[in-house]
Amino acid sequence: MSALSLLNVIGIIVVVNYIVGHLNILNPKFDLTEKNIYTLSDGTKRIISRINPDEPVTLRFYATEDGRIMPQEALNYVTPVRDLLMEIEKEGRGKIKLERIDPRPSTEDEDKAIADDITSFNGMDGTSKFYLGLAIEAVDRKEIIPLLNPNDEASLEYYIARGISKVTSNEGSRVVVGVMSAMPIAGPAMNFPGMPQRTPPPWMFIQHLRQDYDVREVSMSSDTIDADVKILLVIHPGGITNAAQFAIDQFLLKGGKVIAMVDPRCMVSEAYNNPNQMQMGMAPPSAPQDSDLPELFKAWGVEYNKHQLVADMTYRVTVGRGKSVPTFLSVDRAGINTSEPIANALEKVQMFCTGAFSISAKEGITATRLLESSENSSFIDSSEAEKVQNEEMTNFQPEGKKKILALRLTGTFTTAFPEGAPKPEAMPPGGPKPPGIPGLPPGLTLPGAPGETGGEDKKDAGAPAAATTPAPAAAAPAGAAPAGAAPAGAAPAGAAPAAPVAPEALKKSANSEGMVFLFADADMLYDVFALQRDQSGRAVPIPINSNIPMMLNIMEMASGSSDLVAVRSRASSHREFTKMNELMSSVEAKYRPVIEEQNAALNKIVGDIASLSGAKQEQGVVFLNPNKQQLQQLKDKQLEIQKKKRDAEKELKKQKDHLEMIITTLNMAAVPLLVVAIGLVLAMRRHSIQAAH
Amino acid sequence: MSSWKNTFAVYKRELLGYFNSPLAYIILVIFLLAVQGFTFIVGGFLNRDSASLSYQMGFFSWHPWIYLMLVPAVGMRLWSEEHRLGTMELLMTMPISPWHAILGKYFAAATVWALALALTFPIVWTVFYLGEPDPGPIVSGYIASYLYALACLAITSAVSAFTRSQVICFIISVTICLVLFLMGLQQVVDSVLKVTPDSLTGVVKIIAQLCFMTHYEYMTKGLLVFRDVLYFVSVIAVCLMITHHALQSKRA
Repeated sequence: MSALSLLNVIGIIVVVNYIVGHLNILNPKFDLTEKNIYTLSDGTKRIISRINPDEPVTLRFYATEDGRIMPQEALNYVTPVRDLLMEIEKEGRGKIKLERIDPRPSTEDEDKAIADDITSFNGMDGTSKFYLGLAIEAVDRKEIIPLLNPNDEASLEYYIARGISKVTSNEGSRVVVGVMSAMPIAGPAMNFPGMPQRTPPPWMFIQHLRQDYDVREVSMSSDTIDADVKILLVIHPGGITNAAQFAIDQFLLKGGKVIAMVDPRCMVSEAYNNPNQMQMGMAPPSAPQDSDLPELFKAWGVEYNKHQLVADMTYRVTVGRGKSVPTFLSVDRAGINTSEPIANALEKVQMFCTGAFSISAKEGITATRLLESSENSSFIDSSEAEKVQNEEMTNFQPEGKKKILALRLTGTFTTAFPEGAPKPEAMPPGGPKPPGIPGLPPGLTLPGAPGETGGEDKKDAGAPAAATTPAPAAAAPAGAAPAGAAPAGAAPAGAAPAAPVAPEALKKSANSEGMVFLFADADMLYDVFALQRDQSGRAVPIPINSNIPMMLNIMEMASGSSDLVAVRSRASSHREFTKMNELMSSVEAKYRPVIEEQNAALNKIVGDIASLSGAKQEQGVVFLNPNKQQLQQLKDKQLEIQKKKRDAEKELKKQKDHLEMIITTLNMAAVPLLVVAIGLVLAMRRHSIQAAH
Repeated sequence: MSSWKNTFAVYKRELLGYFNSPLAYIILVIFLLAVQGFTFIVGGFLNRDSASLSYQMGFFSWHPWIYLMLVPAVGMRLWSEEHRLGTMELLMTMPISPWHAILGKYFAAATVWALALALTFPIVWTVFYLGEPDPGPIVSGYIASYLYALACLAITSAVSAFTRSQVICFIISVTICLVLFLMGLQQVVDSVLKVTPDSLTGVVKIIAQLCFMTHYEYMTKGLLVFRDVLYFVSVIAVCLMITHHALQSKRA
């Protein structure tokens, strides 16, 4: 090979590398990870396939790729983002154009980033700004991701897919959201300060929705839902009529998205029923405290009992003073379906007196669990809910099964009213009034009453309900007919639809894009259960849990394309050493009873001292006042307990060290020794053969 | 057909040469001690609570450092030895083409490295015992690591064909491998970018694309991209061609 031909060949190789590596032509990828974290989801592919070729999408990726300005973490994130965007561009087959812009200080590129509203950050050199964001544009619509946060890598694909779906949809800018509730939750959009409030103020969550959506109230007595409503939010539909269920049914079959929150014990509803307590302005129409969508649930293959609450000993919430309420659940990541993009960033969803669903398969409908209780849970009757909130649960028997607290249904839905519109129901005169609960439910502090702000995992219990008697459960008629507690002020029966509208009534969804989100609790979105409070007890828009962020994610998903459901989160799966954790818990299990026993003994000694009048009270705080001998006894006991704890820790450390030593030795020494041994054996054999010759 | 026979003959002779002398055993033991020692002791593998081999300071991140020194140590005798013993002329006058000799020798050394990597199996057993790892990145990590070793070996082969002295071959090979290793490290690229004027940033990025680590990292995380595999294969092909060119010019 002459030098010239060698150079030619090398040149060809370099060009081929450039074509494949830089231009991404003929560059297949093989994603070997179990969860395919480097592969586009089907949902993203479908969204891309629907882009109109006459309205191409431009992705402007801003990244100041300069180590002097951009911190390392952000710089490391540029590559995966770029790879994903290139993958999306390739999938677009010409319908998506990727522009990579590197905005350096005081350049035209920086002006572009500013024009696109990309967030600027102060660079490491102290003077320059750096940018890491994305603008997605098609024709005259633009979506911005002002900051691509390295911590959100799991949701990255979802955000981009959502942006593409938004700029390519032919919707108006603001999605219309219908809100249906038995409670006056939506209030007036505006209240002039100083004007007497005729109605209770809206929930903060609804106010928040109004910033991004066109929120419209839908009456509980309506039998149709406006055609321009895209998402229907049903929050605690207490005493819903069949006509209204029919309206929801038809809305869904027309392609509307439904988010429904039913509740076996809606505490906010109870509070509304005691307006003088809530100081919420005029007395609102009273709604029953449980809600259900019986006809729709039957059609959707969802079972739910509106008289049963979930009590969960693992997820129970501590409400002030060390007391925990098993019917208040704080669901952590173990109970959240983190493979869903809407949920993968959530830390803690809290539900208050929640029910549970079970799913039976229905043709064409796919059910996905979003929230689950722990296995350490059981059902209790809603009549006992009050009792459980005020005293310890003594008869708790875990059922060892996770219960579904929230789910999503997607697919092709069939009508719940195959006969067409239901007959107008005769209103029971007055309707059985739900029992008013004397005293506020614990955990519900009055807006306006000063209450300490709940900490990270605490909700202050507010004033304990003094001597509340358990309320008798509302006697509900058996059968699936909805409890006929019609809200007062409902439309007169004459407004019911004329019966023969059968030809108009839809029997089945037109496509497989139906979407329903179901929650078994409606309280979780109310101000005091989801937001921090300021000094005066008023809710401020700072979430104390993931409830409202989760709901906003769901609204985002429902207002976008149905394909977003099929965009997986790209959770980079961290896998821990389960063996070590097993070891730890086995050692802990061995020592826990011993330590508990010691603690009990200590408490007994304290009790003895106190009962022997060794306690004195100072300014409301009780101090122990032991004599010398008792003090010595206390100290000895404490030392003993500490020693036991130390023993447990020592034992654990010993076992861990032992295991680590074995593993390290095996890895470091075993194979090298084997190699040396084989080498020696072979050498000796060779030696003896040579000697023999 | 006969060409493969010739290649195989050279391969067999070379491989036996490795295993009939202490060389192969020493290499294997040093490699295993180094890679496991770095992973377990320096990297604190057991304290990381991560059942994976591809995180920062994890198993695969130490391989490039070790190959940097060890591969040239194995490869430096590829041709220098023949020069020294005077068997080069013999080899070149044999009725085989230089390619047969080059490939035979190269595959023999590659076999030693395949064995070295295979003998790290206890760590795979370890992660499966301690947790539930994702097998994909482990497979692609081993592929990446082996390609890295082969690329270093090809570079050493090329250097070795030019020089008679094993020491000089070793030093030059280590230098080339070090430059190719460092210039692809993100931290190094950043610090270089800090001192280069803006007009030259493109050049720095192109240089980074020509280096090993740029193509190594994603592969160890479980994403096999064709361009990365092609890069390593190209480096190997180019270096073996340079080897061929060097031997031919010597022969002439």
